[in-house]
Amino acid sequence: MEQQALDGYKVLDFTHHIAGPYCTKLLAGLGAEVIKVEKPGEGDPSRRMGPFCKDDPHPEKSLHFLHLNTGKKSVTLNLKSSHGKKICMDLVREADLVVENFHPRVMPSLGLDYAALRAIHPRLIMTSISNFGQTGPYRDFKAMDINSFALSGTMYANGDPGREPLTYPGWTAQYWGGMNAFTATLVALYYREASGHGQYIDISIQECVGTLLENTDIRYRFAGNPHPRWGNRWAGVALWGARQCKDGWCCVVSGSTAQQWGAVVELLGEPALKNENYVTVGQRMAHCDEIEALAAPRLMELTKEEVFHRGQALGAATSPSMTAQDVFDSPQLRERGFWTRIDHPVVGSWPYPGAPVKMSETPFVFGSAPLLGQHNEDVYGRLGYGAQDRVRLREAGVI
Amino acid sequence: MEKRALEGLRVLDLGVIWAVPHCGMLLANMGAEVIKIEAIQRMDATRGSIAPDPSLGVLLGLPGGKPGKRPWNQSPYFHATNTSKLSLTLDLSRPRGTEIFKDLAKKSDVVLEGFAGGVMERMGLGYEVLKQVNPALVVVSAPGFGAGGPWSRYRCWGTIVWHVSAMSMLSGYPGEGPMQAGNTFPDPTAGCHIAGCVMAALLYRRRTGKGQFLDVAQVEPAIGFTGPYLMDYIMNGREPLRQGNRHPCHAPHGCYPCRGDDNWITIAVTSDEEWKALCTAMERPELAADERFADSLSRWKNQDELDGIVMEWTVLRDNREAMYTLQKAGVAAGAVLRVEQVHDNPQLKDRGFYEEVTHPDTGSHLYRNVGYRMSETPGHILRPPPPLGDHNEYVLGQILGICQEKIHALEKDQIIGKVPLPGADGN
Repeated sequence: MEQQALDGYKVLDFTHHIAGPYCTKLLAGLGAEVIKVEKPGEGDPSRRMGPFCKDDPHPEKSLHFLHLNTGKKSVTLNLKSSHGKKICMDLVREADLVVENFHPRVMPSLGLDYAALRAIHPRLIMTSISNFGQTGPYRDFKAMDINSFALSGTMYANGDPGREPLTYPGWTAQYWGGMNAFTATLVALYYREASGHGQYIDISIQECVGTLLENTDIRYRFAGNPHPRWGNRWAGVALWGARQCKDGWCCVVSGSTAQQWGAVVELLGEPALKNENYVTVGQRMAHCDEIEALAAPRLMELTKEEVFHRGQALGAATSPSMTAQDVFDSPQLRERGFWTRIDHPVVGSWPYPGAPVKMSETPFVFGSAPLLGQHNEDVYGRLGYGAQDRVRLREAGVI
Repeated sequence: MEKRALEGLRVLDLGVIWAVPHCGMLLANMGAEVIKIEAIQRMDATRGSIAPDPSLGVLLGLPGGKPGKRPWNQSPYFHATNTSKLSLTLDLSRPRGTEIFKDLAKKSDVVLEGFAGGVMERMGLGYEVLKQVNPALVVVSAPGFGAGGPWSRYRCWGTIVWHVSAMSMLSGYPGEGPMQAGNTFPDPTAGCHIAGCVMAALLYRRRTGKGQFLDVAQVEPAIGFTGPYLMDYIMNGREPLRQGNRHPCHAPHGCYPCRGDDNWITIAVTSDEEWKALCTAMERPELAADERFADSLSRWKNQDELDGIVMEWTVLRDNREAMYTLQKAGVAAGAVLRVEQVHDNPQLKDRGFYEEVTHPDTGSHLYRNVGYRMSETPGHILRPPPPLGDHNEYVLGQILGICQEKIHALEKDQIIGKVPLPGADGN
């Protein structure tokens, strides 16, 4: 079997929903043993989130759960019972990393805050992901994705001028928090291997989303520029975003250099665009409306595929605006072997999104998402609980 | 002295724009010595024009709205994505430049680049070469569409990634066309995934001594975020619908106008308990008993009406006051902050998200730190975004031991330098 980057590391995973599970999905994909602790009988609430495979709302068939929990082990454990707590502490002693994304009050209320865990395991790294962080006046605030985008300053600039701001699609803020947690956790692990010291990582989704402000907060600090909603024009630059063409939607990026802009002009074949006042990014901000008016009828003469391949052949950054089918059928992703087939005991074998990064020596491997409590025997067996013990624990509502 | 997690790690960052530079910045803020490499013949495009039209100064966000003496060191985009790094210029189109790069690669741990496919190979710096030079090196190559495949040489920006990774089909007003993000979200998505994978590769190297090659197509990490929607197509044959600000099964969930011009609040109710709390906070207790809104499914089915009711309440109120009222009642709410309001947000301030940094050409300003606090190795902005070529002497003299005389000769021959040559901005 191929070696993996995180072979031998153990993660005790108290995460649920989106943010935490994305972090531990990536850790599992790199070879760490991730033991996901779920509530007996119910499990991760994302097991109840649609869509479901074949539209069957079954706890093992949620596409969110199946995607976010690849390669993990699932144990059920009642953290509020005294024996559950004892088992939990035994699992902590064996772990290198603990990851959780409860509301900041929860882990302390279970006696599982960093101070308590560190007392029994000084080298432990614990990562907590929460909407606003573990400190500060908003600590106890609630947030869904839309609220995180609003409070980071990014949402205001998203959407059409004169209409309501738009949040980002899906669960982007949550994923983004989980991905930052993945990176920060491995930075801490690297530091631990060099120094012997564990530590506590406090991830704020609001702050993580705030790092998406691109150049806008600096522009404001430097020149007092507000950042309005530009709709489909990135930063108010002409021809930078989705545009309608003959048979649907495409994307055109007018670029940062004279060469890239020249290629767009050539693709569109509009002589009036060959204007020395349109060459730099700043000029295309200043003359945005006239450039768009010249380009729009020309784009309507081209199909998505023409915009894409003819534009790219000329050296322009262009693409279709893809549907799910386009993405799944993309010859580029197919040839790179992006999709990875995973066989799951309940939903069967399907292609899933694959590795975010292809690592030559230690490739990602995404295994099946676990059934609820599928690994109780394996994990509790290792702690010395035999079959009869597990029956007793089950009767006592511990597992 | 404060401990830094990545002290002693050296990273050569050839990235441009935002994706790869974001990775370099994350590592730099954690204490790695990240050397950003550009050339006086071709700078990172985010440095902007060498001689911007002064009438565009405000539009470009240059300090005080005016191009200073060295406008390439003042561009807000460059400042946003390169804190804590060092700057080296090196003309990699000439053998003397590539030889110096290889000498540096011998003394480095990580190389990052995001050029279009084939560029590093043409410069004689492909992975096979770098591996010979230093087998323990972790090399990241992150073109938009990745190595191999029919589109590997295609040009790609974050905006393009948005449209080829399924983000755009989810994004926009319901029933309308695709809407791109107000900020180029896929770039840092790639950058952050890469940073984590670099750390994993370095952990593996600690155990085995082996370096490796990380092949990234910036499209692929972005798909990690849209996975369930693509699986819905794969398993159920369904194309996703744009939901705008709505939730697939809960309501009210949206963005509502508030008092004043273009002021908004977001409100998200995801349980009966929160719905009751919202009714109380809006002083509309009768709604809590209204059958049309009694459970999530009813609320979701009647959300047009519900949105009108919520709006009647929000439109009379200040968005931040309304947020505090609702949060106090236990309802998820967030004022839609403008970029001019984020620096003063009490939560971000209390946690020290913004740090003040002084730059020789632009003065003191607040810059974003990373989105997390670490107890042992906090991570801070260690240096301002570097002026072009500001660390040439340090890198060549101290790291490589090249004598002053030779450094001067390199400068004379324009292998290195501090002032960009005409055309270095691509214009």
